[in-house]
Amino acid sequence: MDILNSLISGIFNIVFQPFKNIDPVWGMLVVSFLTGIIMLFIFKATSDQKGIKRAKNLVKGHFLAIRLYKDDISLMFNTMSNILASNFLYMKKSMRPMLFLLVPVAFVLIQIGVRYEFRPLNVGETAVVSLQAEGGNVRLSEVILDLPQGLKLDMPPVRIDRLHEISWRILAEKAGDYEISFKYGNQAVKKSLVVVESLVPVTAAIARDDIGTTIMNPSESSISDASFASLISVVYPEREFEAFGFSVHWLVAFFVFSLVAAFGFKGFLGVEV
Amino acid sequence: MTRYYGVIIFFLCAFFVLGDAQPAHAYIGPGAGFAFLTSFLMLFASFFMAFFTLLTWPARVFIRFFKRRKAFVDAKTDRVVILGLDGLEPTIAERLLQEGKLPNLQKLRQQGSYSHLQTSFPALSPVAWSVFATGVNAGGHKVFDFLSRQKQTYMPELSSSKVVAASRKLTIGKYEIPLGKPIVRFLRRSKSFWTILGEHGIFSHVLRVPITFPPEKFNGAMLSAMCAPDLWGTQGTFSFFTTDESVDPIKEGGDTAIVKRNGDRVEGFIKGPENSITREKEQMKLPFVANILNDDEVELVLGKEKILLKKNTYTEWVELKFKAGFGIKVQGIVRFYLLDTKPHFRLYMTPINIDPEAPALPISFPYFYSVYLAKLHGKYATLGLAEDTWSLNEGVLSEDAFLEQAYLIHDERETQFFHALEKTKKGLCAVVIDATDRIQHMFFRTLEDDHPANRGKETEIYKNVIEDMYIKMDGLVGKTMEKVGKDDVFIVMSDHGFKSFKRGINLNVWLKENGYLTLKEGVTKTGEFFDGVDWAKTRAYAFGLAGIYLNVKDREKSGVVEPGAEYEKLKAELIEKLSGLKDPENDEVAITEMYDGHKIYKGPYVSEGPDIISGYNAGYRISWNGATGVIDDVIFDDNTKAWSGDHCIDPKLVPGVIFANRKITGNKPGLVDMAPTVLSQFGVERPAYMLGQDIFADNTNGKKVVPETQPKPEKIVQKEVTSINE
Repeated sequence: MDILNSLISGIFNIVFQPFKNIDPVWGMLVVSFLTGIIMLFIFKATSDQKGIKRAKNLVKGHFLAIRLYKDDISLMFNTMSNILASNFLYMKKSMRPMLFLLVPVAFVLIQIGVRYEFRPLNVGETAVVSLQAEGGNVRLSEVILDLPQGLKLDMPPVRIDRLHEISWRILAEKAGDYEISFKYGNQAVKKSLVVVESLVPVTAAIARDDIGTTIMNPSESSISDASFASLISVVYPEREFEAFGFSVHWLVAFFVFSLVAAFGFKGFLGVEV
Repeated sequence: MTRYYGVIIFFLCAFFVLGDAQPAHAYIGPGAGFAFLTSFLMLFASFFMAFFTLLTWPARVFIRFFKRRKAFVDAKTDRVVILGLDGLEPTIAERLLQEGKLPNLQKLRQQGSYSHLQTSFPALSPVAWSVFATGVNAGGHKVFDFLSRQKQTYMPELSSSKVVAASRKLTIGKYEIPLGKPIVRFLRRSKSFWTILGEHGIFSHVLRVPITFPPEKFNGAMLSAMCAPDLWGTQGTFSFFTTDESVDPIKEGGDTAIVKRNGDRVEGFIKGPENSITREKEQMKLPFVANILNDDEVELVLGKEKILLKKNTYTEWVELKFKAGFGIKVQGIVRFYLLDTKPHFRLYMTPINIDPEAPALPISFPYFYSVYLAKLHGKYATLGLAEDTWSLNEGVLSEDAFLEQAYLIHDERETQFFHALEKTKKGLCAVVIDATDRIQHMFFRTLEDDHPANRGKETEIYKNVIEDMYIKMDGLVGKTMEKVGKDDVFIVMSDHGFKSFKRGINLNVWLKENGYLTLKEGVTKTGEFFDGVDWAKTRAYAFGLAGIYLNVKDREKSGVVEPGAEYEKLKAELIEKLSGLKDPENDEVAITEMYDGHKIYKGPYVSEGPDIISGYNAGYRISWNGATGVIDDVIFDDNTKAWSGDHCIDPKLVPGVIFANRKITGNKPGLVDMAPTVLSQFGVERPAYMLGQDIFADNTNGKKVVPETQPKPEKIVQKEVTSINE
């Protein structure tokens, strides 16, 4: 999984490179547009295009029937049921390409998510870093956090034995792409921490044996199986995303931009959606 | 199969694994977004419309109650279903009935009645179905033939409709943009019975009844038929693409296009309609490439679309979009039929039908009815004369290909008919099936071994085509009967019958040889439509398929015959000389009777019609040259074309048929009775100008008639109500 993540992350790092130091909306716009168009190709290749057109035509046809038979109440109710049935047929026809789109779009969303869900720390900001130890054999008092220059411990660690968890508050003193180290005996685990004012991926958590966390945080390798830690997380600040003066969730922006692109190009590419 | 399940399991797993991921909860792609958004919008809009309709329904019922409170009050039935089988011939039907091959028609006959149905003068579909629709003869509805003459030029024009371009235009460079839509004028006069029904609150579905282009505005839904043009504005012009440069160009009804072949690649273009927004009005073109894949398959590339053509197989309907400029597109539909890839590439394309989903001209009422049918059942032929008889006549399509085309179109009609029938809970549902007419036109020769059209053509294997068609139509009747209740009135009818067309007569040549028509000096053979006639020395001319007109002074541009006594004398002279005219080849009577138009027709348009109507004998018809106004020195000739059956003969010889699930009580029912009959079934009184009677009434005498309601400018002179055919 780490290899796949590293490959996909590498591609997206290149795609987002030109937008690193400009308004994040442009990166979102371009990636959403590209995604919309690529998804159109996948949709076309994996769907029953004739069937989808037929289903849509049925809905439109029954829709016209409402106008045509507006004076006949029984025909109108009959038409309503036909519209419902045709709509279900349309959704059924859309299921197959949706399943095919599920995986690639999920990866795209994850890549966008690591850039737009949270943002890196700014200088002067603090973040809580937590480590969850594997099982009850690890003595939390012996876990040491080693910070590089530029980062400073803001508060002494807090340990919750019941959860095998230990947390630190860290202050960012200087911009940089840091690696913090957790030591226990002769073992060590590393985790990145980003202090920068540009559009870069941030990894909120890394885990051992947790495919969900690994997939959702593709920019950093997972914790090795032999490690004393099972999960390390950094609470980054949420990114406030603005698209052309409107404060919206990045998912909404992606939805709208990709939809506009797909709608705009579907005719040109001859795709029935 | 296991792999297939594996893929499903993979995706399901992926769904559940990724389902845990926060962003994927919300959105899984533009395709899905579209699907859900479109579904939602459609559902929302339809429920909103339904809600609005429901909300306003009581008000509309209230208004309708006062405006049309008499609807169905005196009705004898809630539903009338009319299945028109164009040209069904009584003698063939009776023979097959006797042989037990038409069980459904036999059942219908036993339930009610069967009779001959008197046809129109002349026995032509546009005239006949106009009589059916209006209850008046051609003197009242003004459709005397397919074509009518322009008195100032002697040139033909379509008798039922005229497309007039917008008069005001904006000129920008090479463009001349019309400020307004073209006007399509409906030239048939009088009022159809479905319009009258609509005025009484009775809804009708009228599908493909001839002479309904442009469609009428009425309380119902209508799909136009005969005379609806193709995108070229003609009544149907097919295209024939070939690499064979030695081929004779198609004479009538088609266009030959020589295309270039380079290896396995053929390039050409499809001719579209004239570009009406440019000053030059040049023909729009759509380039194509045909990649020959093997002997039997070709990939046709039209813009972005690739269509696989298989030899001797029709494609589905293919959309053609012609770009006029300024983003304006004119859309049509065609079917392709690959004839050959070697030694020459040969490709047939149907006439470019108006696309029912984006009609360039009005072909239905309401305008979206054609769209509605296309959305539900797929694209369909919209051309008036959709079955391409010319392509078989010209030898481009084979008999099998023509039959396949005719039945493909028939299947579309059948689907539309049953759909309309299902929607007609109360009211009228009328449909006319054309395949019956077209197939008989093209295969009548097979019924007679000595038919001249059999020469050089396969006959034996097509001997049962007509019989099979009657049996197929009987099946359609059977299916309809299953959907019709005993309280419904069900009528199966034809507008005229059919006879063989072995010999053609060119009456203009006879008129020339007998001194009634003179050619300009030095002209021995005219061009089409009298090009070369000396009108100043011409007293009579034959025009259209059955009319003879006298060249009357102050009526025709170069008229020479004085109205009054001279006119009457000449008319009587011609009727006498031509009635009983014999064919010197075999001494058979070629013309049984010539009819005086003024005695046959009633109504305000009698003077517009022919002065004399030709009543050809069975086996005869106007010749091909005669029909197009070509005058040479041949009066009689053999008909060797595939178009070997016809009905444009003495109307007494080609009555239609009527089967009904009601007893016919009227004497000698005729087409003219149909409108009054339907009105009567719905309890609507027959307007006085209608000439027929209710054929199901116990006693039609003394039936009250309503005041004349025929629309202006017609002024109907109240006349004794008699059938023209009696």
